[in-house]
Amino acid sequence: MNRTRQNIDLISRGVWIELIRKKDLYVLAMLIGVFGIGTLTSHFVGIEEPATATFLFNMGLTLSHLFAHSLVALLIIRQVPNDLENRSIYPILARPIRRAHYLLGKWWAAGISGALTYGLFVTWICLTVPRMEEFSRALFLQNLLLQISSLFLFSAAGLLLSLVLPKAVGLLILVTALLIYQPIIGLIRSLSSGGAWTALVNWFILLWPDFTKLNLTTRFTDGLDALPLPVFAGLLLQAVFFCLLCLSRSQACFERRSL
Amino acid sequence: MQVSLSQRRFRWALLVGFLCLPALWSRLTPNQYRGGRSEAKEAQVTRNASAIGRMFGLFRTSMSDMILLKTESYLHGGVNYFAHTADSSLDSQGHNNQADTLIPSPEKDYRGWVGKVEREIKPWNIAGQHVTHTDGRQLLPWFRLATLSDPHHVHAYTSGGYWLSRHSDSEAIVYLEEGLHNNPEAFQLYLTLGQVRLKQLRKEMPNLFDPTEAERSQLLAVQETYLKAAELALDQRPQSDLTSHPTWGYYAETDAWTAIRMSVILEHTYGSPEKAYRLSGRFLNLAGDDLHLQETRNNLKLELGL
Repeated sequence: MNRTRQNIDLISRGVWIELIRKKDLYVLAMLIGVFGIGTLTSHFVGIEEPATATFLFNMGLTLSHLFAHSLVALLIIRQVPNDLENRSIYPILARPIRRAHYLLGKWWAAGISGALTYGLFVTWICLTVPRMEEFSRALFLQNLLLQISSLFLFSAAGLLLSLVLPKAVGLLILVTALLIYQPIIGLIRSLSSGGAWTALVNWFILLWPDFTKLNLTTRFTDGLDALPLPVFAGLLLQAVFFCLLCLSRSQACFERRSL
Repeated sequence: MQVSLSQRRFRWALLVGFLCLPALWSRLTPNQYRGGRSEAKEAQVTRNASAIGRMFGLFRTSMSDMILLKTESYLHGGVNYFAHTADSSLDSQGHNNQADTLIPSPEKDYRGWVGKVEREIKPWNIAGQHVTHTDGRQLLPWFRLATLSDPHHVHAYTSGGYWLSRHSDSEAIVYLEEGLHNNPEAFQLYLTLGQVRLKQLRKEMPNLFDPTEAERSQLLAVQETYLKAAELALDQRPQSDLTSHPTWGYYAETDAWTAIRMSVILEHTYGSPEKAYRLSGRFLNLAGDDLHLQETRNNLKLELGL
């Protein structure tokens, strides 16, 4: 067990070193920083309407969500392909490291990086944006937990895609799943509605993870109450289940792969 | 590679879960709710009117609003109007003749020759003077995208339904019925649906003033649609402060009156004059005075010998 943890830790450190060396995190941090400074300035000038303050709060949280997911996508999608391309995977696997541990290390590091980035950005937004309306603290915590699970799921999905598809295609699928999942699903549903395939299409759609369900930001800023416990537990279960599924498939793909 | 028994069981469990758990996932809809602050019209108006709202421009709108703005630009030959930010209520922007263009006119432009160059090289028109409309075919994919990205975007459904009906009434009816399925409380959708159905029947019927029984029942079904629109509009209409109410714009008021008048006129023409008379009285009581409706009521009164 100790050995497994050490191996995962070793791989994770490699990912974090890469994260620090690359520009992605700094660019995103600068963008959210500019947003925060802009908000602070407008706060200083004076935000009179609570609706405007809530709009800014929603925008800040949404940007944090998008930036953290973007970071995870950019980080995870290039891990295995770059290691294969640069041949740096051979010295790693020459050590007593199992392929499953190698994948787990990559997934864990990208997920943690995303979660920490999200936490940092949300803290910055909470500090800079005035809150002039009432919000549910329980829902805030639920959203935080679901966002973290969403980031780990995103990392697992990215890992799987990077093993079966070229980097650019995998990244495109991840971005599509994050940004325009609902319009695409709406299009598929409207094309199939009324036909004999409707039920089958609806069932098929549910076979894929829906990241929008794990983002409760607008529900939170809309001033609604926390989710009932069974719904919250169901959403967490969904994230964990799809995460396990992606990791299991990744392992199966990677074990069979000749290096 | 050897796969252990426990690993095999785990994989089977995942496969079974993958195929069976959608029944559970379908029940998890945390973002489907009503009554959120972002949906409240008053909050939208406040946001849009604020300096910060204007500063963020399109970022404050949803994806579907951005797409809808694209349709307006296409309709006006590439000229972008300021309607969405200058005019607060979505209901009242449509073809607002007072709407400013995004590129300001020479009188309002402080930029001097820079503004002149921009007006020369980009589509621009004098504010309030709309360019000739296109036939609307290019707008249709944008309306479709707007309603796909936000199925509750009533404005995109009504405008899209109108432009679609210029090319195919039956397609427009399907589109509007989809809108009603997603927005059962939107009276504007019932009104547009009634208008498109009536237009379709006018084309199909050789003599609209002497319909057969089957045609009469079709026309009365259209009257039902108008009636539904009128009832919903009266439910949603504010009790006072109609002219400056933030969520009840000029277009909402005219749409409501169109639905009211048409429901009475169609009932009078194809249904029962007694019922039309009762309906007009009820609407006049609820909605206030209206010359056209009063005139219809007076005619009905004479006709019925009351």
